[in-house]
Formats: sequence, structure tokens, C-alpha cells
Amino acid sequence: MSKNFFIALFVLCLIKLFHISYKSVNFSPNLLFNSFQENAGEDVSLGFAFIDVVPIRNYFKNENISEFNISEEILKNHQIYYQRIVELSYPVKMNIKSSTLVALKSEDLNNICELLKETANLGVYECK
Amino acid sequence: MNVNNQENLNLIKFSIALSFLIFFNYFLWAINSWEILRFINFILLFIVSIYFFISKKFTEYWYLKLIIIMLLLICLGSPTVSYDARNLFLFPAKILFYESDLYFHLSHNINLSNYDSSKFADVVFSRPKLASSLSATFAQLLGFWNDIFPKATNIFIILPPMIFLVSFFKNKLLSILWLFLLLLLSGKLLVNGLMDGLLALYFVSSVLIAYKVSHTTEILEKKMLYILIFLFFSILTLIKHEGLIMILVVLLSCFIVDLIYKKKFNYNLFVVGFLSLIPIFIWKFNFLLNNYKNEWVSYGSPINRIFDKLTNLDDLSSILLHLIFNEKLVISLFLFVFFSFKFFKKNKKLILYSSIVFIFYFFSLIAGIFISTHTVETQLLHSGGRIFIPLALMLSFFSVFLINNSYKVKTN
Repeated sequence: MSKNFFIALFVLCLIKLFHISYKSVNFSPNLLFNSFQENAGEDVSLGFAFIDVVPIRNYFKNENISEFNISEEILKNHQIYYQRIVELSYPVKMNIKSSTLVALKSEDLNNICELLKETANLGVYECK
Repeated sequence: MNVNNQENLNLIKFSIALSFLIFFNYFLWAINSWEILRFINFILLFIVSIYFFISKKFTEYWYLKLIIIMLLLICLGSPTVSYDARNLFLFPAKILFYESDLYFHLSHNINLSNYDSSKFADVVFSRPKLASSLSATFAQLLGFWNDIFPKATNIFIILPPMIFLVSFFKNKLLSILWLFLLLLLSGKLLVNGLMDGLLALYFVSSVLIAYKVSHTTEILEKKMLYILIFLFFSILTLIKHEGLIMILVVLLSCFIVDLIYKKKFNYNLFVVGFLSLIPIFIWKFNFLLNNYKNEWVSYGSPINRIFDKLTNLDDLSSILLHLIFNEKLVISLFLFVFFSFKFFKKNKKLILYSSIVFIFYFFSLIAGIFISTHTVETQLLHSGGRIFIPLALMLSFFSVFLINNSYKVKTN
């Protein structure tokens, strides 16, 4: 009797683990096999911001940019972008004195700054 | 606890070894030690963990091993999506990986603190860094960073309390029942990169160990429990800010129960308890020295916030509704009340103690919601589901533990 209960509870534990894997934390075998690869899982981890922040991080890396600033609009109204850019770009650091500015394309800074790189929703500008 | 049983003693020794290595990793970061020492410590932690899985001493815990391995695989195969998990844990770990300096933010202005609107600097820098430091050590050992594997070290952190708690059950059925309740109530929080699952496990262990230490008569056993109290309390406070409140709640509850039953209190527990707070006080002292902002006291008046929320009927009804519909808390409370009534005679002191812990911590959480800079709605929306998990886990553990105690009485 006790053994049957034990088996039943153990099976329930396994079912719960599968539930957590596939329903709660978006487990993927592909990610598991690549979990020790550089930049693994960025696409799923960053969500909708992926298409914007990864090209910006790569641009900073390729151009050896060590600091950047973020527009007031992103800081105040798009905190997910703010958080994802700061975090993904690290060790490239945010500095409010930097002339390299990340802003929304819709902010239309073309008249005052030079566009260096653009993504779907963001732009990297050089503002003197 | 049946610590006369050699097997249980082995589990507790094993739990001490693992938690010591986890704590020592943080200590090495805190003193800015050589990287090589942190690597050696991590490799030792890895080897000791592996020992649990291969040693013949622990073969009967195959189900626990399997569950831990599965949690590890889930951790390695899932992304860290949550905003809080990334801010509170992953990004700080990434900074540690690159800078190799626990106090980096204090000596280098990276200009995030200029933006009070999002309190980003507070969130990233001021939180305790035990879990992040272990992830950073692992990443430095491998030589690169990604968003996936570093959080797997959380599974190393949950090993000591899981093993410790399971060691108290006399039979496999009760162990698996507790593990099932653990997965049901907090399984997701153990693998999604948030600290709440880790915090909950250390909280339950700390509540139990503080109770058990006053009931143990054998000297060796008592010494082991005091060592474990120091390690678990220290780790608990270094996981999240709430840990400090939890320790104070546990100590105060022990004080009250000892006063009621023994008319005196356990000085040793208080000395060890306060010693274990030294690491978190040193961490916080660094922030005070550097005039660092704390979001609760630096943004507006906390007293005004409490008064505003207390006098706002909408806020009060939101909290009440949230509690009524918090099914995990309600289920575990129901279980605890049911088994308390059933096994009341033999476990009066234990039931009183766990009820006092519950009441104190419950009201601390409510006070936390009132004092928070966020609105009640926002607070409940973003963290309402997880802040009560430590209480839900504690109640469910003690429900099973009451059955365990009664089982022992019957078989004797």
C-alpha cells in the first residue's frame, strides 16, 4: 500500500517537473544541448527586444565602442529596452556623457545627430 | 529528527559541507581573494555535490537525486526571461564575471545611478550577492558568459536545504510527499532564476533547525546543528533582503516559545544567530559608508506611504482579495490547520512555534507591501504570487513533519 502511494507520488513529481518545464519556464531540448555555447539562448531570453538589442551589442563590439548613452524617451517610457540594452551590452557601459546615443527611431534625431546604426526600432547615433 | 540514525547524520554532515563551500565562495568574493582560490572552492563544491549522487551511503535517496538532476536539466534548458530575475541576479552576476570585484559599483561610477526613475542602480547593486557570486565563479571558471548556464548554480544552492529537510523524514513516503508539495508550491521558482525558491527553502530549514537545536541533547549533534544554523542563516540573509527579516522572525519566535515553555532562552542560539548576520551587515555597511540610496527610505517618506495605503480602502481590499485567492497559501494553511488539530496533543510546542513564525512573517510581508515605493496593485501584480511562498512551503513542510512525528510515536 505504502509502496503504491510512493510510486504514485513519485510519478506526480515527474509530471509536475514536466509541467514546469514546458508550461512555466519554456524549456527547450535545443537550448539544453547548447547551454554551454557563447550567447546561447539570447533570442528566447530577450523576448521582443532581441531584434534590436543584439545588433546594437554586436555593433558596439565590432566598432570597439566602450561607452554609450540612452535617450530620455527610452529611460522614461521604455524600461525594458533600457534594461536589456544596459545588461546585454555590458562590459560596454552606459555613461550619460558619452556622445554615442541609443534612441528610438521615432525620436527622429537625424537633424542633430549622425545615424551610425539602425535596427527595427532603435538607432545608434553620434551626437556631438 | 532521528539523528541517532547514522544515515541522517551523514546527510546533515553533507549538508554542512555543501553549505560551507557555498558560503566560502561568497567569503572569497567579499575579501577580493585570488581567482584561483574561488576556482578551487568551486571545483570542491562540484566534487562534493557529485559525491551525493554516486556514494553508496545515499542510494536509498535515488528519488531525490533524480528530482535534483531533472531540476538541473530544466535550469540548463530554459531561458531567464523575468525582469526581476535578470536585474536582481543575472546582470549582477555578469558584472561580477567581468569586473571580478564584489564592490565594483562603489569604486566606479558607471552612471546608472543617475536615473532614479527606474531605481535601476538600487536594484542591480544593492541586493545581496551570494547567488550571483557563485554564478560568476562558474562563468569565470569556464571563461565565458551566456544567459543560460550561470543560473544552474542555483541548483547547488538548493542542495543543502533539500537534503537537510529530507533527512528529517523517517520514511520514503513522507519524503516524496514533501518533495511533491515543494514542486507543487515552488517548483518554478527553483529554476527560473528568481531567488524566491532558494529563499523559501533556506527559510523552512532555518525555522526547523532553530527549533530542533533546543531539543537535541547529544553534544556532537548540537554542535553540528549550531554550525548549520550559522551557515544557513548567513546564506539566507545573503540571498535576498527578506532573509534578514526572516532570521529576526525565527529568533523572536524561539525566544517567545522558550520563554513560555522553559522560562529562559537559549543564549547560544542568539549568539550564533547574530554572528551569522555579520556578513550581511558588512555588505549593508558598505552602502551606508558610500551614502548609497535605499529605495524604501530614500524615495519619499515611508511613514506617509504606510498611512496612505492603510487609509485607502481599495488597497486594503486588494490585499485581502489577493490573500483569499492565493491558492498556494490557502491550501498549505488548510493542510497545516488540519494536521495541527489531528496531532495537537503530541506536538503542541511545535505547532505553537510554527504558528508564531507564520504570524510574524505574514505581518512583516504585509508591512513590506505598505512600506514599498510601488503601489499595492503593482506590488501584488509583480511579486504577490511569490512573496508568500516561504510561508506556504513552511506550512506544508510542518504538515508533513507533524505526520512524521506522529508516525514515530506510533511505531515506538
